[in-house]
Amino acid sequence: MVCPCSLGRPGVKENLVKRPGLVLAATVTALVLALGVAACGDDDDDGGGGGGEAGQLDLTIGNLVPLTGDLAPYGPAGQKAGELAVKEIDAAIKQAGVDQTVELATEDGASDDQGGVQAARKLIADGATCISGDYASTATVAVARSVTVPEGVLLISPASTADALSDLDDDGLFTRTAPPDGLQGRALADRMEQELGGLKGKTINIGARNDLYGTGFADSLEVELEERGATVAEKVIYDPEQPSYNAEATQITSGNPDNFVIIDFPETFAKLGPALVRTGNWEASKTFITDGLSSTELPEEAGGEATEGMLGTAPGAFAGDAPDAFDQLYKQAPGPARNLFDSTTFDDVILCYLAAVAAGSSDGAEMADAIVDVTGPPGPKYTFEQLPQAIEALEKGEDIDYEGVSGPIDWDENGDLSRYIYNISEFKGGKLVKVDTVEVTAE
Amino acid sequence: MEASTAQAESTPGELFREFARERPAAVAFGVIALIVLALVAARGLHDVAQASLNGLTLGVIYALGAVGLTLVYGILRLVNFAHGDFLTFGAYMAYLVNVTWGMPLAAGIFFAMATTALLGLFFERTMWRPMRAKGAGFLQLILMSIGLAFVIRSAIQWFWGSEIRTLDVDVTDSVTFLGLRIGQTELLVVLVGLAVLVATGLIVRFSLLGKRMRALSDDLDLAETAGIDTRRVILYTWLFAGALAGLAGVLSGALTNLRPELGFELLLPIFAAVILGGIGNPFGALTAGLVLGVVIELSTLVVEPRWKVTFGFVALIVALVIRPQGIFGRARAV
Amino acid sequence: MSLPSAFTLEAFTNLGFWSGVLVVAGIYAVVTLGLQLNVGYTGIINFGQAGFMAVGGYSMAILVLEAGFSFWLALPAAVLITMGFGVLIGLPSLRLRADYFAIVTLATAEVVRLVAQNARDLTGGNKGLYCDFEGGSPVCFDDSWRSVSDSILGFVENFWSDPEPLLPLLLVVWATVAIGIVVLSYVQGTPWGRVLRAIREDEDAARALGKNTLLYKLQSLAISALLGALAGFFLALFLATIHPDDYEPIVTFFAFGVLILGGLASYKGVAVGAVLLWTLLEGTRFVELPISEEKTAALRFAIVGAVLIGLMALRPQGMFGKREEMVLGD
Repeated sequence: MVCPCSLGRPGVKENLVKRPGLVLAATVTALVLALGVAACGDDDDDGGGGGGEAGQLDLTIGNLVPLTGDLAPYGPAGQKAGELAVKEIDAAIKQAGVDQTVELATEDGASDDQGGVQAARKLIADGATCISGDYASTATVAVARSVTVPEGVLLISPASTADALSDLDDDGLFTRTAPPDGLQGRALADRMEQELGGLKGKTINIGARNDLYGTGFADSLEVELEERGATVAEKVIYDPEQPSYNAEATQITSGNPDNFVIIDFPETFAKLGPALVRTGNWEASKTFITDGLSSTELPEEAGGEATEGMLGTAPGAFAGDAPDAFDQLYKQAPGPARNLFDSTTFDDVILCYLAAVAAGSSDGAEMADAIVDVTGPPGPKYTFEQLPQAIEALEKGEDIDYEGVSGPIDWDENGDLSRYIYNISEFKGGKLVKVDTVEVTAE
Repeated sequence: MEASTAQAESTPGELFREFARERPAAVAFGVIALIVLALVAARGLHDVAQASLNGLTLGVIYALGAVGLTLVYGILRLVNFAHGDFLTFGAYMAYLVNVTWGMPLAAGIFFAMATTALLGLFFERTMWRPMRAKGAGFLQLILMSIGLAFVIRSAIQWFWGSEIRTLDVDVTDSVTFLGLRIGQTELLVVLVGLAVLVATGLIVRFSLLGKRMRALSDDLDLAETAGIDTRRVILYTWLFAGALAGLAGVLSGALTNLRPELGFELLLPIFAAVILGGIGNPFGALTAGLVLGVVIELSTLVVEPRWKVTFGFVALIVALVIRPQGIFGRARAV
Repeated sequence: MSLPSAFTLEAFTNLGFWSGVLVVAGIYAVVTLGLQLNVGYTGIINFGQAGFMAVGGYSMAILVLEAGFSFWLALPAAVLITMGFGVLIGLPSLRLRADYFAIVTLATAEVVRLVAQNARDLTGGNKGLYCDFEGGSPVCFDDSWRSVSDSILGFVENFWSDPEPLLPLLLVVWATVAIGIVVLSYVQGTPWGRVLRAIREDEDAARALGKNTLLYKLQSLAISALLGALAGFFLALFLATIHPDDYEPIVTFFAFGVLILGGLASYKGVAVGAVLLWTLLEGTRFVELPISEEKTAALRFAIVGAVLIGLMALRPQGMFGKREEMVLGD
């Protein structure tokens, strides 16, 4: 049979038009020339050399947010938060009367690695030496390993919670204001131990969505539970977009365990929850959840039977004036409503700035050296409302302790938060009710 | 009896192979029946029946998508990569009616089917017919359909964004019969889907339009010389395919949720059903779609649930390797 | 300092950014060269290039991180594995009709991606692969490449202070493209190449002349598997991580876009098409439109689709192809 893609006429000759050869040569030459020109004209784009004279600073901060893709719902709030932060910085600079210019560049990371890498490259090309981002943990790995660490740029992630990020070989150039999932896993395991009167000999089944968040959390939680004497009989990883969850529900409830843990987001649990109820072997009151499902709309989306009595962890709010002041500042400004990573993004931008002031330079590596001291004790505490005073202190060479709007932000040597607060919440009477607050410290 | 050149005695193996060639459907069903029996022995009748019921919800959507796709291919030899995005379009049209305008889902379904049918018609008139007139090649059309898929998906994203939306359906209530459980929405999907599939089957088999569609599918030029108004039949085929795709999209959206990739994610299994059923054969596509759905869910009795989609694709590849023209396809020269 | 996102001349001299774009274009050029050999010259419609990239990239990383291979040994081993995989798929499926073959290759590529996503012990699943943190110090799959890259940069520093860190990868990728174009163009003139051509024009005739067409098609597929594996390596080195999401079908579709933009049966066209497509796609970051980012992204996608449609309708031969290449013969 004749291949449908065959030619109409037999015997048509090979036809590499001569012109393409010239065009190719021309293209290559043009590229080489462009690279050469760019290389020569590019000196001022590398790493930002500001900070020659005492106190003089020229800083560009990059804000890498997901404006498209899976995490698009969170991006616009992060964009707004970054812009608010720079406004505060500019006001503080004026008030403190220092010779500094700070600019913000925002790029869309598209919620994936390639997008994040290209966005980071563009931010650096625009002069950024400190970047807030990325959100998805895999994208953050790609950005850190392929762009920011090789280029000597400081990267602070406001949203990536995968535990593996703590181990990145980064010369101190990567930190994050989002707590690693391992902390939350520990908080959850501790609470489970408390609620069940001990985990020894208990059988637990885990159900988790098949993505980095779900699988990562499930793996580390399994370790935590087994360390406390429980047995994880089933660890069921399921795909988030299935038309029917009956098979998955059957597996999650198999073996009649003592308790369950579900690691998921509302859109999927809205289908999984009812399926679990239908098995007849599952009770919401025997189930623990993580921050992914701690959503006030869940009882409405998944139904009362699938939620009543579920208990779990959610990021808590540190008490203090700073979070409240930020909330007011954000709500008064036009633009998108508050969303998950706005406060951490705000903190990231402020931290980039403070690190530069402390280092007296906008060079990424020097900022990286200064940033841990700036965020943690010792030193008098300053919030974003006291930026002018913080600037003065830093200019005098004093150490400060920045207290963020997302928390006190005290980092350990890995650049991870050394302590964090989680709310313990329960679904009672169709509402998500906070029943306790726990503070976890890194070991 | 004339003496022939020495013929080897037909071994049982050769006899079976002959039988398989003649009645492939019977063999396929036989194999599946054997597998089901083995599963029942291993896991019990209840589990197998429950998994099969789950599989029907999936299968109904695959079948609806596959029948439309195969009808278009049969007549136009067009592998329409944009078909998946027709499903997405239908789902979002239903969203418009059901959620934005607050009307019941049934209205949404009708609207989705009607608008997607018209969409198919629109592209036939503006794209496919002119390209056919130009004598466009197979590769050209495939790539064009890929481009069209991008355009439709981008348009949906433009208007509705990429955030996840849900139709206004009941997800929590369920029904139990014969000891098997099924969600209310899932039951709705199965009943509506099967009803439409049966109706489609009847139309294709017994109606004049159906006969004409099959004639065109067999041999377009011959049908034309026989005096059939091929233009009309082609238009009706697109209306049909669009309506079925729109319905498949709504049903899928009701079961999961709405997102721009909804249809594209279903496209490969739908292709699988089309090919397994014998490309161009609507009954084959219908059956293969249902069977594929059931087989995928049955696989969860043996492998972990997250492998079930992979299993479906592997089944497709294996089946094609064994029988390239699909279970129900005619043995064309390959 | 000027506005970062204005459409200025400075935008075009952002070296770091455009180096990245050129690397990605080069990666797509490599993978599409294989596609050109398959589609443009042998007439087999291979929709599985993303799968070959995945097999190449993952094999290499798994060999380095889990089997302790040296990077330089893992590379050729991964190439062989990918070519073997290509032959394995081709054997049963190359005798299928072109449209069936297309679907089977697409399905196979998806199976590869789904296996990568679900075989978590082997591939890390959705966590991806980049470094192995067990044991004293972390071992990363690209450690050896980084030392080589650093040495090259150290050498370049003699002429160009503060060179672009991507330069070594950029050079390697485009050297591969150049070598690929030269070799493949030359091979077309050989008897082997002519048989491929004959298979595309009229397979039955070729078979009637006594050629084992299946063997030739397998060889063509194996070579595109090789190129796919190389592209997979380069992508992994560029992103410094390997993740199933990087090998979705969209990669294959974009490769087809590059293919037809450059034109069927033109290897040089592949290079030009790749640079053009990615310049277009990434260049839009510099254009500020009065609409939301999400709409801009949707628009970008829509433009790619419209270009595909437009090309097929108006200039199916792309920039450097011949019109007859695209026309049906039956």
